[in-house]
Amino acid sequence: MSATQLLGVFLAAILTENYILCKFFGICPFLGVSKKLDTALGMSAAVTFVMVLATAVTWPIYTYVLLPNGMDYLQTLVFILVIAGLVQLVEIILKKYMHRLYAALGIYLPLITTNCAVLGVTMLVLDKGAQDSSFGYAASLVNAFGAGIGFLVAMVMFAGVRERLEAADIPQSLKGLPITLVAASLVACSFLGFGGIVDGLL
Amino acid sequence: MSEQKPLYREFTKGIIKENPVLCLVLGTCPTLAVTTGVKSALGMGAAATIVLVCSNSVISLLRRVIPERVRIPCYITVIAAFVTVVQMLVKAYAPSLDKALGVYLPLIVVNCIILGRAEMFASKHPVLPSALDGLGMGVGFTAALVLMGTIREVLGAGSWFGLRLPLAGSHPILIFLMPPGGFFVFGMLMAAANRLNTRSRRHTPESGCAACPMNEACAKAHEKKECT
Amino acid sequence: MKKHSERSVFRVLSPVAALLCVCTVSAALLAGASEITREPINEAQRQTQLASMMAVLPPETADCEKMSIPDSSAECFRAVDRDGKTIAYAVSSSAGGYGGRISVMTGIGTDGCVLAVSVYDNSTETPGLGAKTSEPEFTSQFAVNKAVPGFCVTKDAPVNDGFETIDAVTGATISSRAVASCVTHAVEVYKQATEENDE
Repeated sequence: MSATQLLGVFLAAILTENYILCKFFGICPFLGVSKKLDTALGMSAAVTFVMVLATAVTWPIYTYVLLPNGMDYLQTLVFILVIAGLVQLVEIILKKYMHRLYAALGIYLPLITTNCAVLGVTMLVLDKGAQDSSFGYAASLVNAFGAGIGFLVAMVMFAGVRERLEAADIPQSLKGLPITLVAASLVACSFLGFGGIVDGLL
Repeated sequence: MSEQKPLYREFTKGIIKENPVLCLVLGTCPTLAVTTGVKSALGMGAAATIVLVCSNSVISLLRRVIPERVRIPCYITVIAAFVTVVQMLVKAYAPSLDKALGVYLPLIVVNCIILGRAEMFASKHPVLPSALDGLGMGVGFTAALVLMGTIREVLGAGSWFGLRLPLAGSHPILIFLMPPGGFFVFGMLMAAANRLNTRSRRHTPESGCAACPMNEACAKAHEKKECT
Repeated sequence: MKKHSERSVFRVLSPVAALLCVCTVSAALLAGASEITREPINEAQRQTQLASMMAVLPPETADCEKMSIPDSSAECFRAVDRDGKTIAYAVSSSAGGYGGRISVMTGIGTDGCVLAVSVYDNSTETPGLGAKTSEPEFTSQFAVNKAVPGFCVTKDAPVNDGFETIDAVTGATISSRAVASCVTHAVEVYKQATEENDE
């Protein structure tokens, strides 16, 4: 794949295939952690990091171990355990050697094991690879990184929207999550406008 | 005899009082993603129910065997195994459903309803109540999905279960099928559930996030408490 | 003292052993389930493909035979009637749509005319927009009674000289374009396949 195509994959992952607003992955952290800008940033950084790392590990496992041996039915099981193990490992390493990073991302890491965005990205890049043989390891990693950045963009945008919601006068039964979801609906509307933009740009 | 009543309640509580989607706000990802039609909503609900009942039963059976420290990885393994079995069955006997659900089918593994019930209920109760709890939660989940699917399909496609409706069919409101419509309908349904709960003064259970490892950092749990 | 250390070893090992047991049993269960469902899954996939092939081939078709073609991204089948005479070809091809891949089966007559088109997988397209590309109102446009080099949506007509134009589904230009490029690809594959067999 050429650099332009990789750029296309990256941009598409952020804009047209936004994991939260178009594919509904990771709605839990999206609603839960987006109340403040700093927590939104921390969570997205942790998710991006784990997404790239998980794809970097699961892609070779699937392509070189599971698939040639006809064990692709173990995909879900192996992937979720690998991701869980990886998150634990990263947490231990950060705790021991990188205190400042751990202080910033530490509390978000254990949350990510059961985040469907991470498992989703590892499976979707393999789907894409199966349909299009030029979509290899590099493209998968770029796609995972783009998905993480897309997650970040959606979270940060939404944190801004939610700060405004705090001050608004809202009907009793809409208070809390319902109005948040309506706001999310409007933010998702804005992402509908990106349809086809990546093909047009490149 | 005193055992009898709670046993049936384990089943019914999941359907309305502790409905996993509308009251406990769990499993939001599939709720939004596969409810563009009643068919796929029903399929997702059924698949998740089967996994819930099976995983709840097995985890309840193993609750004395599994050591405390590795319980979450064990639960995830059990759940992943059942999800894969269900996925294979769907592929073999309902290939069109497999296409409609796509990647959301294997993602049942990370549906917090299932891990949440394993941690909160099945690990502390005997097999029969656990299986019933799973069934109730599954039926509640399915009911919420079908409700969402009905609203979105009728308004967005002018059909129900693939059948074209006479009046709504002429000018469907497409946006209900698209992501923004999903968020909007979900928000409105939750507002309605809130309203019903406050009106009947029914005790609203605390957010089901207790089992979620995200509980600490998550504002959802606190928010839920504030508004009820 | 010794007892204490034994106990701590046990404390470390027992969770590991338990996890290992659960994993092994699960993996074994899955291996069994996969063994049982493999045949039905293959059968289901064959049925889906067969159904989409029959939808685009003439009703006299008695048998289909896969042809070997150099192009790996498409599949070409020769349809024969009861006497073994070639009556049509079916080509399955795919292209990137709005949400993912769109797979299309194209029936082509022995004279090179497109007979019928069936969009058999557009599950990733937006329901109500891109998903409408599988409806007959759209796909019937491809059945023109002449051999053409390819198809394109009306919007792209100026840059595709000689191509047959089709009206895109309203609001779903990208999905419609993808289907058109699938059919164009199918026509090319058909030409390759028949030329090779003539030699």
